[in-house]
Amino acid sequence: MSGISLALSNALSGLMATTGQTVVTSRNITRANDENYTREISTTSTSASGGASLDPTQRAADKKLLDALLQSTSMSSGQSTLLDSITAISNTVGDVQDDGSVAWSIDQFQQKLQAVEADPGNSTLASQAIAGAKTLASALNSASQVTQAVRSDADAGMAKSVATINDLLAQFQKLDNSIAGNSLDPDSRAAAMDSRDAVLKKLSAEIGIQTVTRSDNSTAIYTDGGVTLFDKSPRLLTFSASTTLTPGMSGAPVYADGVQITGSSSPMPSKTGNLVAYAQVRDQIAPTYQNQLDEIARALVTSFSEKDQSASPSQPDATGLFSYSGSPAVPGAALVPGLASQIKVNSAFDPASGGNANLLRDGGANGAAYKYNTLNVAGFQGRLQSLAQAMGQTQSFSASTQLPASNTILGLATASAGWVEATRSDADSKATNADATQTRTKAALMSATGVNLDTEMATMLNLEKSYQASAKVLTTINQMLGDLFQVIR
Amino acid sequence: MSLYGVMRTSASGMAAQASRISTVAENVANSNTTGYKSVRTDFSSLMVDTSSGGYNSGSVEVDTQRFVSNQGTLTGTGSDTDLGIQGQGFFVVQGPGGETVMTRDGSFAPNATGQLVNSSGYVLMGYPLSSGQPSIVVNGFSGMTPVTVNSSTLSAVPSTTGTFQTNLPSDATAVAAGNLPSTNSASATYTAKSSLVTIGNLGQEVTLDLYSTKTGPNTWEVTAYDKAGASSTGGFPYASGPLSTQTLTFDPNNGQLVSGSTLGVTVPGGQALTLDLTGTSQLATNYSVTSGKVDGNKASVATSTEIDKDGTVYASYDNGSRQAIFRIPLATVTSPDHLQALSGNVFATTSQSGDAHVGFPQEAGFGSVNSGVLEQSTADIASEFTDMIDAQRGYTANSKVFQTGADLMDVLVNLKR
Amino acid sequence: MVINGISTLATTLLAQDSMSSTQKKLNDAVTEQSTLRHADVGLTLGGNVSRNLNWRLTLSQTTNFSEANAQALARADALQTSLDATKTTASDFLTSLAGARNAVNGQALTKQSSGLAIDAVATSVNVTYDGQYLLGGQNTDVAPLNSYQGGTAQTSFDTAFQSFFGFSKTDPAAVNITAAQMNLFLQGPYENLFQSSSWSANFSNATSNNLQSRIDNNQQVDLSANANETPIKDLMRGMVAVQETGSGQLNSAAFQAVIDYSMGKISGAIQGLGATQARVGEAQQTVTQTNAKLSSMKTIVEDEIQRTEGVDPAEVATRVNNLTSQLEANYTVTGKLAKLSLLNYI
Repeated sequence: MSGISLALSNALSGLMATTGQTVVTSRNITRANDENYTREISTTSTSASGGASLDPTQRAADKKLLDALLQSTSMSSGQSTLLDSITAISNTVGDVQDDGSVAWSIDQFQQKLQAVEADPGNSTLASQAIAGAKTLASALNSASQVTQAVRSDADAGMAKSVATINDLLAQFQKLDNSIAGNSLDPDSRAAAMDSRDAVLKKLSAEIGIQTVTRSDNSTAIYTDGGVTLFDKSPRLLTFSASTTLTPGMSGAPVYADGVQITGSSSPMPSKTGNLVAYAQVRDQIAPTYQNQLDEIARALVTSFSEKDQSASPSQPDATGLFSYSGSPAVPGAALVPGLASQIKVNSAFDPASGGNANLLRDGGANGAAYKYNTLNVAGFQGRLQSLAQAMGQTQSFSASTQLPASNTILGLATASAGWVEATRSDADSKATNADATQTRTKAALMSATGVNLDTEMATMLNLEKSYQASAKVLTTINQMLGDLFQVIR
Repeated sequence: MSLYGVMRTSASGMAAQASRISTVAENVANSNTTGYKSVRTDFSSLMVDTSSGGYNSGSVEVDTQRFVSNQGTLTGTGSDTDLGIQGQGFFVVQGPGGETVMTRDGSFAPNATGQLVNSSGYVLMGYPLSSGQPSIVVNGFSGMTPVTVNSSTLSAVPSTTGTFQTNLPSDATAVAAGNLPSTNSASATYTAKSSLVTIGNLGQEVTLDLYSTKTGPNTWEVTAYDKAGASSTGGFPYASGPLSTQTLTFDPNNGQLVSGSTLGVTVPGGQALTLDLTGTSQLATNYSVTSGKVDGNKASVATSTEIDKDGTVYASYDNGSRQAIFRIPLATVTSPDHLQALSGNVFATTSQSGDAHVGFPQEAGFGSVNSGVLEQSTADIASEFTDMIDAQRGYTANSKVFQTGADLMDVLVNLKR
Repeated sequence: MVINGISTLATTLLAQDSMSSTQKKLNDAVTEQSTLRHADVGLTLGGNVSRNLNWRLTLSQTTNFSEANAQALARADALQTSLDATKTTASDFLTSLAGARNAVNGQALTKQSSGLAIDAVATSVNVTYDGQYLLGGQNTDVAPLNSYQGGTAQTSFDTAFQSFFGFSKTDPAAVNITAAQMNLFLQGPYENLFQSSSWSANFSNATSNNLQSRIDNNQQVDLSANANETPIKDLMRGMVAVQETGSGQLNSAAFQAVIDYSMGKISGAIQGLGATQARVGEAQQTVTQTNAKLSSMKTIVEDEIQRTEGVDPAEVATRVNNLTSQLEANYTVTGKLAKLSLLNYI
């Protein structure tokens, strides 16, 4: 075929191709500010008859950069969740100069105890020491309470994260099936692929993932530990949230595809993401801090316990100034979970509850057999001296505190504060780094797949010119045919 | 005598030019008909015996020729079922009366029963692929059925083949023989686990749990279980023993698979499935699935149709799978230009054209089938118009000759008063 | 050639990100400028928090000890004053004894002066500081020395005298007591009256163990004395002997034996009191030295805290300036970028 009809048809194909490209360009411009939008590229090629034909629209997708973004997103969101939780715990430590922390309370109490020791007969000082002991007990109680609240929040966070993941996987299934099924027109297909990438980005914030894309564009999702999350159908996560979490009680692990993915006994543990960060807070960080608090409390209860003072002692040791739920029995050498939340000042010592502050000097809160000040003198120092000595003595602590096993009570408290801040500082620098990496990767991905308005505007100008040119050809052909008709008359 | 001869000759010239105008009229009328092939009038001279001293004028003979083999311009339409042939060949279509003819008009659209019907009411014929690749009769149309893309039918295909390619971490610790997943004991431990969805006979999803376990240096064991039989905690022991176990050995020098490249599993409620493990490696990095794919289709509704350049018609299902359901053949003849054009853009074979022979698109001698385009008419208005002007002039010239002959006849008749 | 440079959205996001991080840094720097400490000390120190916390707690303890030690020193000063007064009383009495030994009315003189001296000693020994009896040992809420006159101490003497000599101390037969008999009484039954059990029963309420003062975490010193110490006992021995036997009936030989005995005890007591004062003084010296040590430690620790937690004012001021200019540059660049669009040229 040749002649004017071909010219007409080719000019028309030029117009149509230009229109098609303009549609793509206008879509690019419209969604320039959508960070999940992947730029579309529309090209033309020469058809068999010499006209222009529109090629299928390409997405400027970059799987490697997307994978890098997914990875850095998991890292970044996990670290920032971890940092938030640790910051909540570190509020119990506060600034080193704030006297609200457990270490400061111990120090203040010790000083008050020394004041009583210097002047044992002064019951005002004794009352002040009891007040100091109450402050200390409540500092331990509130630190323990905060720690448990952080644990409960982390458990709730895990439940929420699991729900989000399951929800996202269900969304992913719909999108993935429609993309693989070819049931969509090219435009909706590109939009579906954008949405699918957006779901992956959201998913990666919750849990570290890796994806494998097959030839039919369907995608399988695996956790960064290798457990199948999605392959044709989602493998939903299962998790039973704990209604209450008491110290020493461990929360339930998360299962995916029948494999435990959180906790130390997991064969294929997940490594990054919110879910993992919550699990780490719930199962490692908060319990360790709780252990430290419990050991401080146990050392206090033990140090202030009373011994039978009779010539031939027959009574067992009994708790003194500090009591707990197991009083009057004195805790053994092992960690007592939750002691820090139970420790309180024995009301027998507390003038505010009708007790006698001088029991601190005299002993005998558990009966006459336990009385140290047998002479009943106001300046009795023996008991106070041994208490002061016990406070300054190194004791053995459980290895589960992750701190040196042998320390003084105050030493353990300051080491614990140091541990919390070291953990926070570490989490902060990791979170900052991960965040920077994520921003960089995101910028790189957006540079590769995003829209540059200037480029699109330039393309638009180009298209406008070629549309004009094709239209001009049409006008010319029209003119020529007109001339022909003129000839016929 | 010769004056009559002049008048007869010019009359035949006028008749020939009139015939030429007729072909121009048909061409112009069909200048927008899909798959229309333009027709042309050719002339040939007809001589009579001449005696000496006088010339007996001959006349002109008319011959029309249709250029069926001319390729029309393919123009995009956007409809997937609009087809255009680039190159040789015709679609085989069936008319309302059951006659099988050929056409280049690919403006097909599914009718109520899912058959692809073109604008002239002809139904596209093809070979169903439900029982494998068709065997075609080269010189006939037998075995063809109307191509049906009915979207309401449900289809299910059980899984038979698949690939499962992983990297197994070489630094994993080996599991003792008594605790291997293949023992199905409650204390079984494993190195890594994945699951694959396979399709059973009735299109039901059957999930297989695949355990990869290191048994010793460079030896691994892959064990498949039916996930439905997993214990309440999602793991061991399963209600029944392993479906299959395969031992894999790796080359200690490069971590590549040496033996154990397939895992045969009979899918519960399904067919025997052969999983290709080729490409599995044992390197010192994390467990990861590099490829995991199983064929088969769940029972689902076809949502769209796709036609490939080689004529294969695919149905896409809402679960993401794609299945070839028909193959569209092309027919051609030795001399396409001698085909007889019938109404409705169709052609029938004639003795001159030779018999139709059938093949598939993209085979030698056949063009390709393009989806979403239509072949435009080969009639070109401009050339038709020039032809028309030419014919008009020719007709006028002949009429002038006739008039001159008639005038001379008048003079002759008026000689006798 | 890759024509698609950088996505327009990425440019905006990067600029926003950079601005918000600069703003956060500036915020921190301004906080540091006002407090002259790191914006988040815990974060900056990390694991060193335990070290700094220890320093701060040490600082607090040091301050506490310094105050407590000042208190203890003041208390020790009061004790020294009381011991001084007791010593003065004793030496005055010794002088009066020396004068009365050969005097005609010696017995009457000593009777009177010993009575006054006993009262004076009781006053100076029973001195209180801040409501506590300084010489009561640990029994700080009861006066250490009982009143002698009319008390059980006097009755016990009367009983001892009666049983040794067979008549009461006011009996005229006392004139017949020889010096040897008198010496025998004084070194026998009389001495026994001042032995610990009888002493604690009749004369003193003090306990023999002193209040210990903790002057730093590891050091306790004895800054006290108690009424059960030998010098006080000797003083009472000397004074009571003169008081009770000086009724005027003794012959001069026996009287002189009493005076000699008494002078011996009192001069021993004066020496003993001096030794006690020296011991307390030495302890005071230790406290003063410890205080100096605490104060220098305090300076060192304060310096260390400043070094680790503080920021250099000059450095932080420069940083605030730099960050401000950086932020301004950011704003300018962002503004210019926003204007830089092809849209404005077509």
